[in-house]
Amino acid sequence: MTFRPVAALVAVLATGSVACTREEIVSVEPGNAPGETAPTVEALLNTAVIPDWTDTVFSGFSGPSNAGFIAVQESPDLVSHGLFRIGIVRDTVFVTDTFSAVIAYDSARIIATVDANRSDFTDAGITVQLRTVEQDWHNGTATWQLAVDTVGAQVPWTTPGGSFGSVLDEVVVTAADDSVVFELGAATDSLLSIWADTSQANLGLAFVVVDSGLFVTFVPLLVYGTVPELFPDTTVVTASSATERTFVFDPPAPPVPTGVLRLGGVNGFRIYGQLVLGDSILVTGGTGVVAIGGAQINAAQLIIRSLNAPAPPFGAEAPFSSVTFRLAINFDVLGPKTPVAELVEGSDIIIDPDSLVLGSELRIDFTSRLQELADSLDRFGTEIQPQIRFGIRAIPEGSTFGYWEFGSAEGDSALAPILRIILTGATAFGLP
Amino acid sequence: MSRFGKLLAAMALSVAAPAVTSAQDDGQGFLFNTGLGRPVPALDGRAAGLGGAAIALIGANLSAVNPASLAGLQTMGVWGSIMPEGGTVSGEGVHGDVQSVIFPLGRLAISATRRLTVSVSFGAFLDQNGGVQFVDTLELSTGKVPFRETRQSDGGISKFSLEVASLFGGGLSLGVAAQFYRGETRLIAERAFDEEANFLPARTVAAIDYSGFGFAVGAGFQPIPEMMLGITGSWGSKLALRNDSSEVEGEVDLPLTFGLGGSWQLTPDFLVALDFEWAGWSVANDDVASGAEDTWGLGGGIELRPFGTTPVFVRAGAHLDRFPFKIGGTAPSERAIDFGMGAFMGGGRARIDWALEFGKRGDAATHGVEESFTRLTVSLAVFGN
Repeated sequence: MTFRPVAALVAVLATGSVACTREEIVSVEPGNAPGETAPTVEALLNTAVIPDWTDTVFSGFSGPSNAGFIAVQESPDLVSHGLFRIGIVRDTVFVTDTFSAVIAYDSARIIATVDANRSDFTDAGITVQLRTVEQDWHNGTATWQLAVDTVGAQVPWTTPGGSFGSVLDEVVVTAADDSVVFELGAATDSLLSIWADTSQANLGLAFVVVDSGLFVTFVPLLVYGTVPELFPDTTVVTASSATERTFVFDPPAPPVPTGVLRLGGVNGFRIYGQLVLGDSILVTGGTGVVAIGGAQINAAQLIIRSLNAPAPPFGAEAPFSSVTFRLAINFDVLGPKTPVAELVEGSDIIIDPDSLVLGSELRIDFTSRLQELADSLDRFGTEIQPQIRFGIRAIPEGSTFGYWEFGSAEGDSALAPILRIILTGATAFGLP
Repeated sequence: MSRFGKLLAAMALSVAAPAVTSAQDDGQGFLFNTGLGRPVPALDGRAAGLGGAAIALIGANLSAVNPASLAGLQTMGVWGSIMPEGGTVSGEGVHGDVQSVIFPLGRLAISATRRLTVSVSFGAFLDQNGGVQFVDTLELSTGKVPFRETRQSDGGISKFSLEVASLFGGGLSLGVAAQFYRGETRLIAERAFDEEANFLPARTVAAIDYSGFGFAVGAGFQPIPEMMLGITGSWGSKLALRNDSSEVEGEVDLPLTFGLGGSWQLTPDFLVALDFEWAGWSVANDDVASGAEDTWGLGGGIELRPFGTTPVFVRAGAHLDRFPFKIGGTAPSERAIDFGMGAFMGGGRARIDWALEFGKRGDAATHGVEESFTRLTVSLAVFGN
């Protein structure tokens, strides 16, 4: 018998003979507990003292074309026109068991669901027109001034805000409406024939508020009748959703002022930040220094503090969610193209404009990130720099038209971000 | 001011020290965490019912106290003891009901010749199982956060012995034992915060390893069949300690021990036993934070066979033992009264013994804490032809 298994058996028996016990815990007063454990301390680290804390705002990560809604508005603060295309119009139809070419279209209508929460109605309702569009436009880049704003081409609207043609229909939308219907009327066959012919430009349609108010809808639906060549006495009803939709508005969102962090909105404002921590925290009361490396992070929060609500109409009109993610490199190298890394676990928060006033604090959970840093410092020591790089974005982006603003590291220190850390160092057990 | 100085200054202003989050080094000591723990004698159920008297017992003496006790066994056997215990710990600001189960003895003996017996045994030596818990409050910038802190110790030190005992003429028996000490104790400190705070708990675990060796010798003298006398002594090396987490090492001197005992079969159905033991634990006084004192123990009891020749025994006894490690400047003691029974079974090929002890350890006025306990020792032995 070799020594090693015998030693292992001895060790097991040694542990088993004394350790096969079940003990209950004795309650004591805090000052009576034997031994000494590491204290739990709190550190509130503001931007003025954390070395290299910098932050900024980038935008353009979303736009009206990938927002979850179409905002159509006429007001002193903002004018907005909705644009959409029905990309799929059938030129053949299946009747009984036969495909037949379509020889004509009739009874076409646009059905628009009403977002009653965000629409703003007067008692008399909002008068909304459905109009033809007379100039081609690019869904992803169209703005109030430009119909096309791509890398290869910039084409202004003949008329800023959209070059529109005839009025197909006009509807009064009230708060009682779940959806509204716009009839294409006499223009049905001509318009749908053009849309069905892929060799011709599909200029789409537009929503315009005539009087005053805000009409918010989602994805317009075209419901239309088709007359089959083989069965000319029959009308087959078909539906197609808009394949492209956007809205153009004026004025655009103002530039982000210095000292302000902006988050959310239809333009996808994101907050980026980076900071370098020390590798230890000095504890008051003469109890020594608590190293971050090897410590247990009980809680860590990035606290951002609200500014006053943005000037109308750019304050968020509804609550939206945000998440925090890691950045792969410093944001000042590639700017908006900084590669993003994984999400910071547990960092999602709700920005609710109704509950925010100047100085209101929103706490983003950074516990997992700080614990990861503490573990890395414990493992690698001074070989690594205790740096934290992060980005904050709305999720999903473009879920609200408006955004919200917070204090920046470059702004008022009373409203600047704070990193709050609650940590407990490792208890050093001595020998008996 | 340098950037680092500004950082320290601002951190110093912004760091909140909690109201109370750590106890002082001079917190209340308990038996489980004072010195190397609480001694556990390697007794079987018979000796436990006789006040711990095990140095010289007429009849089957299965405890691992005197290496000469198995001389003349004439067979092979295996036996073990289990020791469940429950009690109450009390003192100023201290309260708790505790339970434990210890295995004080496991032994295998083989009769090599008519006169020579070899055995191996293992069992608990020093017990370090226990824990304390308290509730306190952390003061933070957002308000007070209650937390519960638990400090636990799991484990202890065991002793392994390799023993040889031999009968000589004139009723003399001698025995020697090589002893090995081995053990591990896990120390756990855990702090759990109120659920509303949504803080993760803090937990630190460390392990202390122990190892050492020693020798024991013992003698028995049975001048007449109705009387047995015994003497035993042991020497231990330095016990090596090592903290696995910090890799800090240390040593503790193990004591010399000395014991005297005797038993008298006053009638075929009535036996009296008495033991006295001393251990020089003061050699470890500078090695352990609590300090240590020499210990002594006195125990005795009576054994009756109330049903004629039927091998069923009834026992009663008492013991008083001084513990080595100090609490509050003085070492506590254990005192108890014991009751027990035993029986041979299968024509003597098996034996069961149990003992119930009612006692107390420490003194609240002197040590700040005392433990009242009820302890059951049960042993079962099986012998060959």
